[in-house]
Amino acid sequence: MNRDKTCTLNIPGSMKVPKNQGEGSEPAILEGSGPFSLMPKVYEYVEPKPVQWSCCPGWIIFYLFCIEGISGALLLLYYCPTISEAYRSIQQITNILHYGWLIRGVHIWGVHLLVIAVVLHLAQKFISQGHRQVKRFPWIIGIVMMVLLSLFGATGHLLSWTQGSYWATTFITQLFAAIPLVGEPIKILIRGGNEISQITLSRFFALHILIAPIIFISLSRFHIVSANKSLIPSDLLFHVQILLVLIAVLFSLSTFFPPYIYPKADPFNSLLHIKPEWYFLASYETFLLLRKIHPNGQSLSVVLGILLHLGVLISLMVLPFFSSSATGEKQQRKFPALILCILGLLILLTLTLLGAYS
Amino acid sequence: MRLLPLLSANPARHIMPLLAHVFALHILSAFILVHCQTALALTIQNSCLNCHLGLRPELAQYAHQWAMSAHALVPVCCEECHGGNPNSPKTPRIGEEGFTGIPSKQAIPALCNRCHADVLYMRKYDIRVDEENQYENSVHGQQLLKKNNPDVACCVDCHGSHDIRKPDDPRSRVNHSRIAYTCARCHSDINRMKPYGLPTDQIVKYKKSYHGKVLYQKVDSKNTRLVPSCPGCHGIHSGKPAGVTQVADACYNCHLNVKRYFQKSIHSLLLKKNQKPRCIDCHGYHDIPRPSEDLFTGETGFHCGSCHTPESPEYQNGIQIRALIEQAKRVTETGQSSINQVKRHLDIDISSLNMKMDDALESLNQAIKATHSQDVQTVSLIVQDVYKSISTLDQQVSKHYQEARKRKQWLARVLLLISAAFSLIAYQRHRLKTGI
Repeated sequence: MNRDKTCTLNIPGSMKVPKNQGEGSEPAILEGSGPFSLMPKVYEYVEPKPVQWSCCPGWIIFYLFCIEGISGALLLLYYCPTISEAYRSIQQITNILHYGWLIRGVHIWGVHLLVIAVVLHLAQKFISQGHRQVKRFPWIIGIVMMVLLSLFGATGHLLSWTQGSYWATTFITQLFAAIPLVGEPIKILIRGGNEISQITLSRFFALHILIAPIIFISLSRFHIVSANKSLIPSDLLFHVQILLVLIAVLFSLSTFFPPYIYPKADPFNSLLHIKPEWYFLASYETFLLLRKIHPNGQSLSVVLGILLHLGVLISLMVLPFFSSSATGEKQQRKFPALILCILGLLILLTLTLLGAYS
Repeated sequence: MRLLPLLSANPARHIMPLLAHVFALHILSAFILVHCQTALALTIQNSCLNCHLGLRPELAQYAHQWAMSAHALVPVCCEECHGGNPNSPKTPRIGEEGFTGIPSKQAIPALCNRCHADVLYMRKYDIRVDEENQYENSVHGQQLLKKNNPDVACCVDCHGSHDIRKPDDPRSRVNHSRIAYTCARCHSDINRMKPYGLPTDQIVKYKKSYHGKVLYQKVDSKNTRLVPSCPGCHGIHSGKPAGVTQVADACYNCHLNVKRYFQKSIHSLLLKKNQKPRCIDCHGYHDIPRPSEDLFTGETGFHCGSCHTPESPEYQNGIQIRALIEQAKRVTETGQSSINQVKRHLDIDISSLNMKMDDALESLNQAIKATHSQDVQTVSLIVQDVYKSISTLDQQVSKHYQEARKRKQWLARVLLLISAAFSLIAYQRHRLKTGI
């Protein structure tokens, strides 16, 4: 692109903005005063630049999170976080309210897309060896944010108060009880008692709409700023296009594959096959496999499972500290990272499929 | 003084063993917490327990079993059943200090009833006290107490001796899900049943029956607590459920509506006169299958043709009833497939459709029960309700499809707008890029 060209913006007065500045330099201040003096700044963001596809998954996560926030806020207008009303309010939102089905559909499909985008973002950063460069800080924050996203998923799942969500939450919280000494208190702390009850729902609701979002937003600010040096993308128009595509995809998915409302939670009628949401199936299958290895040591297998998960998370977190950017060519370093990433994704996919069909 | 080494030049040398001790202590505490009940029960100062716990595993197991039993929670200790002095340090011999050793089988019912027939004592635990009377009147009780036959079951054979648990405990031998296997321990034993001429295939047949499939395989998502196991028909202690003069009549305890229709039928009059046909004559016993239309005009097993000739008006009546039920079933299946299609393609909330379907199924269920009246008119009237419910359901399904069409039209308009905006931005970017 010829950087020396001048470009006319479609603004009153048709002022000409010189584009002769090099990368990173401030655009020239226009002559004149008032709001038009801000135009060079706007131009800086609107100016088309070569598309950085590597940044796309990260920004998609950001936009999806914003969409989740907006659709979640709209759902909040009618959702009642009580065990007697939660299911009825979900039914009301989906069936009676105008475009309630769409808001709920966008909120639920958004989660699915968000998980896929997070995995892609992680894999892409792993392959491009982002963790081997100096950007340790955004990498670690990113891993913490990923854990927070799974917390969003786990807490949000129970809010619909369906059979699947009730028993999946029972299963997951029961896992904590197997930890020696602190397991039972942790379980009671999460559930707010021995059983999944109104207190559990209230706790999960607070975590889902207040505590987790506050932490997530605070962390995302550091993550984006430390990775991109700015909270605003450099090519705004391209990002508006991304946003439009995302909205189109979410609307289409919500119309053609609207999320089903499962039967209401019944604590006296346990499900024959309890399965969590698909993005937790890999973890679920890990616990099942460990139980098969230790059929008599249920507690041991659960503790091993929890340690394994913690081990994977900690390994991901400390990756940047065990590598040096000085060794080898970038292309040479990329190859083992690619192999490792494909291996990791294959394991994740296999466990998810095993969990789905077990 | 023991802490002083920690202040020395190399504290790690002393800290590591200390940490190891703390860790070991934690592991021990966890073990104690997990086996809390056992640990608490075994803290009771009792020379029987103290001694037995140190014996070889065959003898030590009694102490462990008792520690996990319902009696340990009271606690009802060893001396309550075996006598003796639990505070005595020496090993007792039979007769010394009231020690009775292993009680004889004939003495066991009386031994249990010392507490379990005591109204005031049992009131605290909300346990019934009529077992003594019921057991004495049962076949088991009469064989044991009157004919002095030790080959029959008494309290400990079903409830266990040391490992007695509450019946609602899934590990209990008399829990609803395990009681059939407890009965089968004796009733599947060919040698034991031979002198009484009793069959030994009941458990195999029961597991194949619809009742058994609901209980053990959870078929049709029915409530497993409501299906009968052995005591459901044979009674718990008495050998007969309340209000039943013979086991063949036990079906009415659950199938009350069937009784109502059956009493209107000609079969009911015949039953009073000839003692036939009973429920088990058509449906069988132990291996009761899920009833089907084959019970009217089937090829195998019991059906109308088993007693009536094909030309008889009774058989023709059976054919008409079968046709009505089959038609009603086809209609409900069509309704269900419509719901499934709505569920698969639309995902509009189908709870209202499910409610209509439930109405139709309830009417169908009622019609099936009404077949016991052997009256075509009665069955036909109820089948009409099935048609009405399915017709309303069809109307609701078509409304749902209209709504889905509207949604797709809306999406098409929105996608068109989004595409226009996308193209406009792409054009603008192109302009800015080329500087036009």
